Amino acid sequence: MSRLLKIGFVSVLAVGVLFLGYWLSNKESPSENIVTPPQNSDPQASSSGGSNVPSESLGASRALFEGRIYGYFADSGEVLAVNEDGHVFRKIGSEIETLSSSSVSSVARATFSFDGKRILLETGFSDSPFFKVFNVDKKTWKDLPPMTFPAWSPKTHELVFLDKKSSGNSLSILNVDSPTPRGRTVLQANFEDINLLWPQTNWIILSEKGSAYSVSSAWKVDLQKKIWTPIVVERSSLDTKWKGDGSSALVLTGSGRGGRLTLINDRGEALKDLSVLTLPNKCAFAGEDLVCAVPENKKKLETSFLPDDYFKEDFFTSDSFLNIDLGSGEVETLSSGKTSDATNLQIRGGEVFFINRLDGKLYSFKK
Amino acid sequence: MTRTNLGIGSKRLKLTLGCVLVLVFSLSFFGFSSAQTRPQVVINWSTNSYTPPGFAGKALPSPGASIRANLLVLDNGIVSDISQKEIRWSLDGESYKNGTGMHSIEFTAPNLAGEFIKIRAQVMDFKGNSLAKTIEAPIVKPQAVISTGFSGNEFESTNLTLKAKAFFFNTNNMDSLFFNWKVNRQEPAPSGEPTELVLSLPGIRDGYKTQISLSIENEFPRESATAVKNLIYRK
Repeated sequence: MSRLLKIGFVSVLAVGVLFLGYWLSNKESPSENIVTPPQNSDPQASSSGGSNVPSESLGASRALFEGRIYGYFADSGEVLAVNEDGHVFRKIGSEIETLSSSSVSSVARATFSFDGKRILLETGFSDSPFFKVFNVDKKTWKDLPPMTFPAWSPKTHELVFLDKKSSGNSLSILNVDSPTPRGRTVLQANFEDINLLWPQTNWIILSEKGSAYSVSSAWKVDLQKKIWTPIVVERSSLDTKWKGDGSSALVLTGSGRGGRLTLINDRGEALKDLSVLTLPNKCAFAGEDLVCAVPENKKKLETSFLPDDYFKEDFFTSDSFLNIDLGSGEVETLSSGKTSDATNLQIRGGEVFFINRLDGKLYSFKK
Repeated sequence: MTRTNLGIGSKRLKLTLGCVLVLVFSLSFFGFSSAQTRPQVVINWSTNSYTPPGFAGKALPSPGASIRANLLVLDNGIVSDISQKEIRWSLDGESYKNGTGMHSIEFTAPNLAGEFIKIRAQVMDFKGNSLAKTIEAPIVKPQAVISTGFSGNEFESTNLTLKAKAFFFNTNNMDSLFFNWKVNRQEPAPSGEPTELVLSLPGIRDGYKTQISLSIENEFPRESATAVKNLIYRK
């Protein structure tokens, strides 16, 4: 009898603890109060003032080019950049060379192939974008066929993209060096509004675009075996920054206003919760460290709908640069220039590169 | 005897608790992903509401916008062929469309700004079972944003250029949007570019306060949004 009681007790306990564990793992369900659209009247933000057109020095940071930069590539002392008119520049030392001066309107963004030899330029509106590719060696432009959400291969001049068709959307691959680039279908992917990343030859990461108002998921997709492995499942406020090789990522999730940052591996396992709050694209991996531009006005982030409000430019930040040791958790302040809202962070050769949203310029400083 | 039995029971109890704790730890640890054993039904959606070029966020539907919802089924991580399956779609609990292989639907966002619409898809007879999934898509009002280009409410320059950003209007043509600026409730002199407000404030003193209002209107369909920012000059 007592044995039966013990078994019963253990079973009830096990079910209870299992339920608790399941609840803990899923407690971040979408909040019901996030339907309220954000108020546009700026709440009592009290961060240090910036300048509408900053002209002073940003601490140790220096602007590399004049004008607003929409994409850059930095490697081995050479920096390539595309400005708001679609002009392409190369800077070696203090010398700046104009590689292309043909103007393009409505530039949305520019991304670079793994070796910096090809530049993909996106123009127009997000629902009907146009793409063209620039050959850095030949200094020539080439129009590309219609595509959406393209991402560069980690080793070739190929792009993976979402091919929208009435018969169902699919992922296709296109080689930009082909005389007449044309996509070849790789696998069916009936998605609409996504971000793609191609960190390893055999696999990509497909993430639904995130918002505080809806839940999103992310998958690792094996291009050969065509197997989808969930990495993040139905989280609100989803925004990610992946390490170059795709081995880990910084993930923003939340429920309503604010959010939290977690380091995960490529299987979606949570490795560490970060104590700081910022946007993933304000961080960059540097070996075992993470360098993040962290807004000084923490309250502004905690009271905003992320990442929506930041992407809408409803507010700008004033950042300090922190180096976070991912092993020990030790945090070191690198710079507190206070007049930069840093985004698109990259670390190359011991230098931290970023685009300052306050003036659109590309800056760098020694780490 | 009793002591021995208790000892064995205690060991079993510890073992069982240990296993349970390991299981609980695993469930918490794997919080971001979940193991796939049953077929996973995925519904994703997008809308055609307006967002400015370069906007990296998710476009949200406002009343009247077109929403497209897509369905896919992952069985053991592989995308399943549902072209021969009967698919039933419903919106807010009411049947919307049914059809063989109907992997996508398109519908107009209802006039329910501030609420969610429930989108449900049911795949009939998938390996002998019915699979179903319900998701929620938000319906929001069109939004106006005053992009200041500086952090917080305090500015240091006596020459300011503020930018108007329109979000989630039912248009893909910027020309159908009308931008109206006000500075301290007065209409400023036109600057040429309606999406920009150029302010020259020579001689202002530290602590000078100014209220900037922006109203964006769409001619057809008739819809509007407003934004207000209170700014302070700091020398």
